[in-house]
Amino acid sequence: MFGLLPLLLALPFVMPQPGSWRDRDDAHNYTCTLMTVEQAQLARPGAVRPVGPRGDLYARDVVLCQERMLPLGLRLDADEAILSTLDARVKELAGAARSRRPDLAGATWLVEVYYPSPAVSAKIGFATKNALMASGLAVSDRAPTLAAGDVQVITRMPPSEAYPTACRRYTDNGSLGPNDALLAVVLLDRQETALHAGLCAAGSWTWLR
Amino acid sequence: MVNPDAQNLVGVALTVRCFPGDLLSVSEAGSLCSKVGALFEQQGAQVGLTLGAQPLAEPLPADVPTQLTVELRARELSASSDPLRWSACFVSYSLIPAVTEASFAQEVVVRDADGFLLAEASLQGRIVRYVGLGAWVGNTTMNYLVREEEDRILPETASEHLSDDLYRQLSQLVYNAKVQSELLRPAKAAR
Repeated sequence: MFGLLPLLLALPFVMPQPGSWRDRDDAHNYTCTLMTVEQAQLARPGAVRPVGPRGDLYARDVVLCQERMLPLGLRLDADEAILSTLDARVKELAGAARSRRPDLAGATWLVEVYYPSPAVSAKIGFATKNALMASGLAVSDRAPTLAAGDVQVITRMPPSEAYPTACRRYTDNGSLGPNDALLAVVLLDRQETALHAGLCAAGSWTWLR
Repeated sequence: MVNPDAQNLVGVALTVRCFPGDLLSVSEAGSLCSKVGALFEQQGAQVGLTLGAQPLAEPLPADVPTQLTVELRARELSASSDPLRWSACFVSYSLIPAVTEASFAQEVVVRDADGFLLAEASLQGRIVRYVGLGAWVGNTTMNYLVREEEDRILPETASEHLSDDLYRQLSQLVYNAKVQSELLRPAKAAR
């Protein structure tokens, strides 16, 4: 029994949940995933004792915890909610764009992001372009432009009219050519934590989600 | 981010469907449904509650522009109770705590009136419980000598934190679904 003591005494220090040695704020800075022993061996080779050839004495699961790269509180909660799952979000948007318009597989794809924070916009734009490239599409860094008069008019419209109008204007003024497709990633409401996406091609606007 | 105490869902008719299963009995599912229903009512929605696939006892008004359905299913992911630690607890007259652990998932799906999927999430939680005199004395000492009041760990702390977290995340998910529904409504009407 005394052989167990070091393990038992050390346990409170390594367990991720709030407790004697870890307050709630500290515990929130860990992301934990429940997995099987086999999955844990793939994720962290050598860190988890493998299941014996005759099985284990009792069933074991592994909770794999990782400290966040950036502690909570450094970024706004809304930005954190978007950025913490950005990879999965943009993959979904790129997949939706590709499956909705398979005829645009040969087009040059442009990405525009409408998000309140320029720093977060840049991250979303970069991740979206990567996701489009990863799905085999040709992506350009070029940004479509609107005349100042167009911007004045469009920014006064509700979103349901503004984005289709901007799409038409991009095509009319030649910013978007006949072989271009624009994927716009949009935060419509400051209170939501979901990104929407619309597709502009040949002057026609479609909301993807 | 949505404030769960604000009027976020005015003009929304919301059906909350709770599915009993391996983790929730019929009465627990009913209790969950009424608490979640009260949460959304506070936010200005017109709410109807039902268990499983049963129709609503009183249909919600059809003239409300945004009609949403929230489906809640709970399932257990894992539960463990380490026999070695229970043995150590027993041998040491419970000075060494035994530990039980349970992980569960609350599956949430939000659909519009046509059954179109607007949002879904799997909210996962894990409860670790220390049992024994040593754990109780240690915890009580820490509560009153070291921890700030908001960090104290009392018998009801875990369930309070889990409920607060669940309500915040549910409020956010339903709000996202509401915006998504309003965005797609003109496109659906044009078809």
